[in-house]
Amino acid sequence: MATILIADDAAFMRMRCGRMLADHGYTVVEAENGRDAVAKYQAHRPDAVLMDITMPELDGLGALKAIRALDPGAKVAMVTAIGQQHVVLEAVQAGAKDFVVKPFQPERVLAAVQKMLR
Amino acid sequence: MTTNTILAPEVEQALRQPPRGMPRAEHLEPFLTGAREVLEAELGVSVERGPLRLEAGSHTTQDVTAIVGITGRLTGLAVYGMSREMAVAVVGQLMGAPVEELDDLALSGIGELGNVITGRAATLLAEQGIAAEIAPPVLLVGAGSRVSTAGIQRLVVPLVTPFGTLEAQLAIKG
Repeated sequence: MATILIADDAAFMRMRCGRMLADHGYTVVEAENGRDAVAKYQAHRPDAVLMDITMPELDGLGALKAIRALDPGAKVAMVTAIGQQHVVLEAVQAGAKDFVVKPFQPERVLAAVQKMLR
Repeated sequence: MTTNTILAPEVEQALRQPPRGMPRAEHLEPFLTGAREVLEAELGVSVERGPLRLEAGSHTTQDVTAIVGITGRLTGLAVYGMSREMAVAVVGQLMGAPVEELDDLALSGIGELGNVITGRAATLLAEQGIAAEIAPPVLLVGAGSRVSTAGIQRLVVPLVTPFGTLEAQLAIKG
């Protein structure tokens, strides 16, 4: 089954998304900030990434760009409380495949993962 | 959902034509709307707004407090405080299972709630053409800490839920 990297500085969100994905048979790897996400991406080469934006050390947009520089085929969806148009645009221009705004229904995150894996 | 705006006339007037250092109504409304929307979506309950009040000076925290910094065209703090009992009940509801203690995981759920409320407010502000960025939340545990908002008056908004009252303190200028 596919491996999904969840990058979020909130342990609660990692647990919430991770539990849902594990319940659907996915293997989950967690990262607690953008820098950690880049390192975990290199180490695990996950099939898809769920990336928060507001994180310490390196934010999600910075991590998205770093991961896409490492792997231009990386499949990353932003999952964030920030829904401003300019942020969505910047993420899409940097290669994000989807943009999920919190609060979300669990099905929305699952759909984003399934879309990236198709 | 019922939204009660119970605003003393002098507070309403002050928010309409605020002197320097006082928050403006159009900057605050997105936070109130965001808080209601997020609490209702995440907790699945109705939220009522209690009487608003303006306060100056430092704020004394409740048992659990999430603080989110705001930068950009607006600057300041959004502070969300609640009792320990409410925090336990809220995290239990978010996790879909009862929670008995406020461990680091549970506290991160409260911080995330503050983050999502403020993020929603930032999105609503952006729709008005007002840029605001948010910082990762900071959590204070234990009542009685003093938070200074450096001369910015705070709008105090009680948000009444079946789990208890979340008190939002908005100290914003722009």
